[in-house]
Amino acid sequence: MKRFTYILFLFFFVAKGLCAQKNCNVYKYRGDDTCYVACKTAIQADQYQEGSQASQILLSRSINQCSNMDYAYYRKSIPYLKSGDFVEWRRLIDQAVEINPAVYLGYRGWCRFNFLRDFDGALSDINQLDKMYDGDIGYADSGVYHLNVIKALCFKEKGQTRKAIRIMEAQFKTIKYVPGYYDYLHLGVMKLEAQDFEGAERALQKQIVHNDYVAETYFFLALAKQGIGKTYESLHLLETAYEKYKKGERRYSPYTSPIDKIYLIDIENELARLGSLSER
Amino acid sequence: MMVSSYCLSCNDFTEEELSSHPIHVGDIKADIKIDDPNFKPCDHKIHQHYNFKSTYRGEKPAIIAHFSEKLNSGILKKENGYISIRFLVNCKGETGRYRVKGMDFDYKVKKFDQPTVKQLLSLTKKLDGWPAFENFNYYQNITFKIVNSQIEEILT
Repeated sequence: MKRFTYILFLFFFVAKGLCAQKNCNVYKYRGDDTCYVACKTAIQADQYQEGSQASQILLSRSINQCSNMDYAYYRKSIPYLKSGDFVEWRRLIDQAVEINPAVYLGYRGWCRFNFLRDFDGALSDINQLDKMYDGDIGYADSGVYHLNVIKALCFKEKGQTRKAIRIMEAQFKTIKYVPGYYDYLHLGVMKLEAQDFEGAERALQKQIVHNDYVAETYFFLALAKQGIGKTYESLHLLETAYEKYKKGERRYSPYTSPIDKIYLIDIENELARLGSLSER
Repeated sequence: MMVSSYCLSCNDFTEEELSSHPIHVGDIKADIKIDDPNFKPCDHKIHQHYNFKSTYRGEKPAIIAHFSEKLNSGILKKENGYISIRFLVNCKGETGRYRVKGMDFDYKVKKFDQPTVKQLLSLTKKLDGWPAFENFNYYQNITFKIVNSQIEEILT
C-alpha cells in the first residue's frame, strides 16, 4: 500500500511539469500561431523513438519555426546526454534553461549530478533555482529525488557530510514533505560517514519501514551495527543483503551507478571480513 | 501512443534535413582508417546500452580494478576534464568502432594529450567483460572524470 501511495505521489508532484508533454495551447492563447505550430511539431517528434532521425528532424524544425521552443531544445538534448556527447547536450539544454529557467535549471542540475558527478555545477544550478522561488523548488529524476536531497548528496560527495546531514534533516522537517524512495538510505550512509552509528541505524531502520526493497539498506545497516558492536546482527543483515542482491533487489540505473550503490563484491568482502573476525 | 524507431514519413523530410541528422544520435560509422578490420557488427539491429539491462562481468568494481591495476597515472600529468569513449559491442561480445571525445569542466570540447587518450583507449579496448546478446549489437559508453591528474570517477 505504501508503495502504491508513493507511486501516486510521484504521479502528481513531479517537478514543475517537466515530465508532462508541453501544453501547446499556451501559445494559442497568446495569439502566437507560429510557436503553436512549432510546439505541435515538437510533440509530433515524441511519436518516434528518442534520438531517431525522424524525432531529431522534427525537433530541429520546431526550433527553426520558433526559436523560443524550450521543450524542443530539451527533448533534442536528451539522446546526446545518454550517449555521452555532453558538449552537444550542454549546448542544447543551456538554450532551454535560458528560455525557461524555472523548468529546466533543476533538471540540468540533476543531470550534472547524475551523469557527470559535477557536484559544483549541480549545486550552482539548484541554488540559482532556489533564488527564483520562495516555495518548494521541486523534484528531479522523475520525482525520485527532491532537489534539496540532490543538494545534500552533492555536499556528501564533496566530503561535507555534516552540511549534507543538516540539509537532509531540514528537508524531512519540511511541511507536507513525503520522503523519497531512497532518502533515509542516503541519510543513513551520511551518518555512517560521520561515525554516528546509532543515527545511521535509526535512519536505515526507517528506510526499511519506508521501502525495504534494495540490498543497499541492509548492507549499510550491517555496517552501522558493527559500529555499535552488534557483530552477530551485522552478519545476519549482510546475508539478507547478499540474498537481495542476488535476486536483483538493488539499486540500478541504465545510465550511471547511483550514489550509495553497492556491488556484490562489497557484500562478499564484508562477509569474508566478518567471518575471519569471528574465527579469531 | 505509437513509438517507432524508423522514419515512417521520410518523404516529408527534405534531403538537407535527412543528411544533417544521423539515423540515430550517437551512431558511429565504420572508418577503415581507424577501425579494427577484424571487428564486424552482427547482422542485427544496434541498440543503445541504456535501453536494456546489462552488467559488465564483475560489475563496475571489475572495471575500476582494471584501470587501477593497469593505468600508468603518471601519464595523466596536468590533465583535467572528461574523456568519453563510445564503442560498439556485437552479438558475440566483441568490441570495435571506438571513438573518443574530450571535454573540459566548462563543457567545451577539449583536446587531451595524445598519451593520455592513447592509454585510456587502449585499456578500454582490453575490457572484455561486456555481455553479449545474440539478437543485437549495442553501443556502450564509458566516461572518465579526471581531476588534477587523477581519475576521480569512471562513469558507465
